[in-house]
Amino acid sequence: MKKSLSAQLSITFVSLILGLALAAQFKNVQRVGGSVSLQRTQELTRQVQKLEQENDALEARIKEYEERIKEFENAIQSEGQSNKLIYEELERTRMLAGLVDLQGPGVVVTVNVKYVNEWGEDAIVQNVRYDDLLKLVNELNAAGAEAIAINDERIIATTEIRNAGNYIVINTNRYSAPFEIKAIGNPDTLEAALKLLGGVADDLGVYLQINIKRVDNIRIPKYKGTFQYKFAKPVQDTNAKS
Amino acid sequence: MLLPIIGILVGIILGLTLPIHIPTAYSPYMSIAVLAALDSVFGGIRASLEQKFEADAFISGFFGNAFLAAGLAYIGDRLDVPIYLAAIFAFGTRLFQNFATIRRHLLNRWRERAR
Repeated sequence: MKKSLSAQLSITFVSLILGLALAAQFKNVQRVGGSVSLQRTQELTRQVQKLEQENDALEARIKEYEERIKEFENAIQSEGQSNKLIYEELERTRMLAGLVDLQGPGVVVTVNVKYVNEWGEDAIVQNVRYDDLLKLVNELNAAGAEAIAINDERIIATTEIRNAGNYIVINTNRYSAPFEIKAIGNPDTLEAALKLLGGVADDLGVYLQINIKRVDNIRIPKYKGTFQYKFAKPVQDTNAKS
Repeated sequence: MLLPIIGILVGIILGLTLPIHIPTAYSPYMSIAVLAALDSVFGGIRASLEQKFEADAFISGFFGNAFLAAGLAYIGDRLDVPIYLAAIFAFGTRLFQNFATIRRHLLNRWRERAR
């Protein structure tokens, strides 16, 4: 009997410690949100580190290339007249491609969500959708806008505007309302094009806050990404039929 | 049989009320130590039911297992070998075996008493 009692006591002692450890661990897991395992965090940390390294390397390469382009340009500029023409053509092409900061008169369109009072609570009528922005950009282009940027993301030939969850992705960067669309062009034409009766501003104004403002001098930044052509190649033989 | 349960309950209450904080970095080792302790307790209950209980072996086994398991997990982490899986597997298997034996002992006892 004595032996049994000592057994009970030692088991009790150990269970006490076990209970303490259990509770401490329980609290810990609850505090941290233990659903993410250590392995997973380590894996994610490793991925982040790797991507950061890759990013740094790529940025360094962009800088290198930009410097080389500048060198070429300087070399060309310092040479003769025909080269100057080539340089001017290059500058024009870069403007077209969206690789230089531009400034000039135009309009600034701000797009934000509209609130409606519903049973004493402010509710959003509708989120800004990608096609709202596309319609505006389309209309601005049709009205002769020379450069457009949404939230300082330059709109170029390959720019995507699409939904990704609650965000809208533009040039692979995520944005949410409010959006600020800057467009360089004839301010009268641009404003009139948007404010047409039954036009885009009218359409979107039903469920969004659209504000169109003329500005004398807008700055539109250049496209910040890089170009990569993997599949497309310039056609060499211009006479060949496709 | 009642005392160990009371022990666990008192331990849990103490742990929840006392401001004990284990650094998050040690959380995985702690969890393995807890598993080892759980295994030891079940082993102890089983041994006492089989009348083979030795207090010194039990206590040393409890602390030894817990520290060995946590230590192995730590070394495994440093070496990038998931040794803690071995600990979880070993303790987990034994836990269920011990529980099965305890169940049988208790059932037998109950049947004898019913007769």
